[in-house]
Formats: sequence, C-alpha cells, structure tokens
Amino acid sequence: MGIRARLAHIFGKLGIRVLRLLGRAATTAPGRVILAVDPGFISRVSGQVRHSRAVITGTNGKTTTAALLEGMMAGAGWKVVRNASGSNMAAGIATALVDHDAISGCDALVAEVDEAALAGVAAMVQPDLAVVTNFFRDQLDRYGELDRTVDLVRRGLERVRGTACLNADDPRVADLADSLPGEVDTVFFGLAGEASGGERDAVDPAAAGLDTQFCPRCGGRFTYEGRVFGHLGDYRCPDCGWRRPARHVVGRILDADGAGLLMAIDFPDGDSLVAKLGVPGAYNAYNAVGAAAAARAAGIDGPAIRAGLEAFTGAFGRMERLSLEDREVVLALSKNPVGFDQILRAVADDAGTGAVLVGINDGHADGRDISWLWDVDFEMLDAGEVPVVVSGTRAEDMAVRLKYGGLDLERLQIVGDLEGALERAVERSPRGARVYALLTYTAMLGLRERLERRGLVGEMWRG
Amino acid sequence: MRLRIGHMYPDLMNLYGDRGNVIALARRLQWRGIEAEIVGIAAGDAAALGDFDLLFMGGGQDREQAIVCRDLEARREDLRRAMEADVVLLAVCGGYQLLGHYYRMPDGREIPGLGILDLHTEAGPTRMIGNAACRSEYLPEPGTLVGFENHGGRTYLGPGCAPLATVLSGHGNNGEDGGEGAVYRNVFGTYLHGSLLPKNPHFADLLLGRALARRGAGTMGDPLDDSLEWRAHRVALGLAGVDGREA
Repeated sequence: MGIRARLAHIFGKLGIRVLRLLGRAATTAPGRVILAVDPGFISRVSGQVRHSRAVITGTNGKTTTAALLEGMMAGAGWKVVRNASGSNMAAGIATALVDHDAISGCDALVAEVDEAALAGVAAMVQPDLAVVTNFFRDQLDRYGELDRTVDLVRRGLERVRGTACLNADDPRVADLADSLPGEVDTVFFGLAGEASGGERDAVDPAAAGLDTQFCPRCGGRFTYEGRVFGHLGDYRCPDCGWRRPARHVVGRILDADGAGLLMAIDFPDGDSLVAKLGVPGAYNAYNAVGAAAAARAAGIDGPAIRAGLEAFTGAFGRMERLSLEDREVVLALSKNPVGFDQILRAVADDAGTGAVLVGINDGHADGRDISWLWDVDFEMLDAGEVPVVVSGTRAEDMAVRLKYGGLDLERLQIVGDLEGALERAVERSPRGARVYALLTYTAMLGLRERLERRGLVGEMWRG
Repeated sequence: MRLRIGHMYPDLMNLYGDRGNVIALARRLQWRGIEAEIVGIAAGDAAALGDFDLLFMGGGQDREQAIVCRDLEARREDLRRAMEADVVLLAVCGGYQLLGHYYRMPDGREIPGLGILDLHTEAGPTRMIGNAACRSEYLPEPGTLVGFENHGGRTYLGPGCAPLATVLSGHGNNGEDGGEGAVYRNVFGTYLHGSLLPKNPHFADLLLGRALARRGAGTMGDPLDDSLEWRAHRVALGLAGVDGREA
C-alpha cells in the first residue's frame, strides 16, 4: 500500500475520532477528506479484499440486505467491512474502509450503494458480487422518473464481474439480466407466493395502482398470477409473452407474527434451510432471500447463512427496538410509499401497539417534495384508538394527511421537536405496549442521535 | 345533492401523490353533508365526460403519458363539449401540459395536445424543482397558493387563457413571465403538487363552489374548520421563502 493511501487512512482516522469526540456520527465527512488526499483510495484498498467485494442497490432493503449478508459472512468467520450507517455514496464507503481498518486486510467488503452513485462506486470497488433489491418510486425530486433510476443501475452493473443477484419478482430488476456483461452469472431470487401471506389472487395492475405496470420490453400491460406486494410477484406480459424468469433461490414464509418470520430458503443445488428472522414483513423476507442468494454465490455455506439470519435483530433504524419507561419503542425507517405501507400494515396488525409517532422531514436526503405522503395508505391507522403524534419539519402536512385520511382528530397531536414527540407518544401509550416511530431518513438520524446521547441505542456507526 | 367526480387515469397519471387532490375534494364534500361519487376513468373506458361535475387529471411518467395521449385523442370532442358546458377540470403538471396545443421535444418534434387551453409547452434544458408559492386573484384572502413544482417543460400561454396566479417564489409556468398555471372558463391547470388542494382549502372550495353553482346550488353552507390546513399552508409559505404577511 502506497504512502498516499496510508496518509489518507491516517487523516480519515483522525477525522473520525475528532468528530466522534464531538458526538457526531462521522459517516460521510471523513470520507471526503480521505478521497481528497487519495482519490484512488477506495480502488486501492478494495483491491486488497481477500474474498468478495459486494455492492447492494435498489430502492428498498439495501441496508437490511447488506447487514444480513455481513452477518452470514461473519458466520463463516470472515472479517467484513460494511458501510453500516446507510451513508451509501463514495464518501460513506471510504469512511467505512478506514473505520474498519480495511487497509490492513479484510475478507469482504459489503457496500450498500445509492442507485445514482452505483456507476461511480462500482468503478472504484470493482465488485465481484451485486444484489439489486427492487425499484419503487422514491424521491422523484432527486432522481426523476423510475426509468432514469433503472438506467443508472444498468450502467453501474456494467462494472460488475462475477455474479449479479436479481430480484426476479420485480420486472424492472429481472429485465436488467439481459444487459449484464456476458461473463456475469445471473442468480434470480424471489418469494414463493403460495405461503407468503401476500395477495395471492390474480390481480388487475390498473386497479392496484402499481409503480410498474408495463412490460419494459414491449410496453404491454402485465397480468399477475399472484402478487406478494406492490408490483412484486408472478407477472406475465400478454403481448410479447415475457414473464418472470425461473428463480434459482426461492424463499417461503412458513409463519409470521408482529415480531418476526419463520422462513425456508431453497437453493438451486437442492440444498434448503429453515431459519427464524427477528424482523417482520414480506419485504424483510425479500431482503433475507436476496442476502442468502449473494452469500451462496460468495461460497458461504448453509449453516453460516442460517446463523446470519437468526442473529439479525434489525439494521440501523429498521425495526430497531429499545426500551423507554416500560414501553418498547420500535424505530422504523419509512421513506417511500411502498415501504411505509408495509410498516403501517405491521403496526396495524400488532395488537400490542400503544401509540404511533410519524416523523416527516423534508431534508435533501429525505426528498424535499413530500407529495408522496398522499400515496401512503395512512387510512390503515383509522381503525383502533391508539394516539398518533406527528413531528418533523413537515409535521403539519402529515397532520393534514391524517385528517383527510379520516383519522379522529382527538387522537392526533403535533409536536414539532422529534424527541419531545417521542416522549409524548410514550406518555400516551399504556405501559408494556409498543410505540412505533415511523421516521424519514433525517428524522431517524436526528432522533437516534438524541437517543444515543442518552445511552438508549447503540452508536450507529457500529451498525 | 350529489356530485360526480371523475378521476382521469388514476392508474397512469399518478406520479406525485396527486390523488390527494381527489381525496381532498371528496372529504370536503362529505364534511358538508354532500355526497360525492368518485369514478376512476381508465384508458379505453366508455365514459361520457359531460356527465361529471368535476374532473381531475394528474401527471405521469413519459411511458404512461404516451398511453394517455392516445386515449385522450379519442375523447377530444367529448372533453371539449364538457369544458364548454363548464364542467370543472383541474389538471396538474403532465395533465396540464396535455390540455395545450402541443409539447415541443428537445429535437424540435411536436407532440400534439388537446388544444383545450390556448397554451403550448417546450422541453427545457433543466428541471424546475422546488417549493413554490404564488398569489391568485381568483382566490379569496390570503390568495396564496403553495405547493411543490417539478417539471422540465416551459409552458407559454396564448391570449385565450389567463394565468391562474402570479409567482411569489419558484418558477411557475416557464421561469420567465411570472405566471403560474392557467384558467379558461372552469378549466384550471397548474404545475403545483403537494398535494395541492389539501393545504390550499380555499382553492378546493373554489372548484367545489363552481361545480355546485353549475348545478344550481347557491351556497356551500357553513365554512369548515380549516385551521390545520392553514397551519400547513403557512409552513409551506415559509419553505418557499415567502413571509405570510407580505403575501
């Protein structure tokens, strides 16, 4: 390793230490310094990774999939570097490499990468493994239309060598297979509809208002044999006949409750495993099967994959649990309609729900346009009587959304400050009940930072 | 009394949460004890547009908008008759552009529109994105409209329609002439998302009032308690950099 990379490492280390002494998370800023000192730092250091350099991208599930893959690799005894904080552009990855001393060697790099940053990051990391989770509409003010996001990812995947794990149940993801470089192996993964607890009936995509309704190849309108949620499922184009490709790795939900899932995963060689996952929802089942497909491609064996799944308790802000004044607080990152709907479903189905906090910020990382709140089915909160506290920079918009959703205004309260809002939600919840905090990205960062100072949650850079 | 609201292409023109506008119209009728019937109008549906009291159309992605364009072609005369009969129409962003004469692509090609509003749109080099505020003479005090704009097209009005509002902050129709949106009879076009109507209750009531007046209903009854809506309106004014008092 050259002097320049060593220097960058030392500067980065120093930056991280100083920022953390100041109580800051230090997930991105040190990376900028590192890359200023050595623009080639990421490619130099990733060149030393012994076994696997994985990139994980897509709209939803990046952080959880990356955390699961890390756990599976750790289960096999590997030393893994991951950008644990969701800081998923080049600077965040550089920070993680320095923070975990990748310069002195590691077995794997697991990088979750922003869709728009993928091409740039992949050029530096030279990945031999990629996972694409799904494409939903998210932050249109940053990325523009979904078509553009798909194109950005397509360009990024051109840099991948080795294996690409694609969610076959999402037509836009599955369609990427055809534009992969010839020497790349494609592994399709997905969920079996029969036992997934999803909507199994044949579905008219027009009635369901799906993000993707049209065949990316010919423009025909898909019909569905079965759907897990959103536009994920067993689609077929009646015009050109294109349909969901055969899947190599398939997950099945055997049992589900508010706290987690029991699932089976089948691999192409006839191997199969059953594991308990400590996070709920079909979307987490997708994350689990995507991570398992990637781990298998990296040569991780079944017992280590299972250990990784069972050790997982929630990535940063993804159904993370903590205890506050005899209530269990569940932090759930909620950043786009389909993710939000999935979490609201879990909240509505949980008989132990005592109160709900919805924190909506409109920072750059959240998306400054909050129009998407009108695409979320907040009507799911109407039934029942639990109090709802709204907070964040767009608390008033959120309150209006709930009012027009039909929520009884007696249940609704606006508390602008997030920490104050959480305290209010906890106060209004019965003891022993669960308080769900549904938060956009910067709202999550802000609230978590306060909770960290009070020692209620772990430091997020440890993921 | 019962109003029929037609939501045009809810499956295709659904890009920026614009369905909130339909939710707002329906709720505000319901709170006044007036029945609302919401009908989704999909491509290919046999629907007589003149049978509706109020129509709404949002914006979509290019792929979806191309399908809508083809379908609207067949509805052109039906829609024109409905507009001349003063059916109320609100069209946002892509839907607004489709009502004009044409959309000129960067390569000079022109995609014909419906020609219901005397305006045309040209593709621009950059997108105009951000919180926006404007003031409309069509609205009662404070007359401000707030929302979020996100469009690449620049829309230029002809003499056959008037701007809906004057830009206080943001770009409006084209970033040049200070106009935002367009009005012709009971047809309203705008670039504002948000959703627009929930936090601009006076505009929602303007549309409902015109639809009710057309049916011979003189009054909308007691005003609703819109304190929450106005709080959100004031926050949005602040985000657009407009002081509520100066507006």
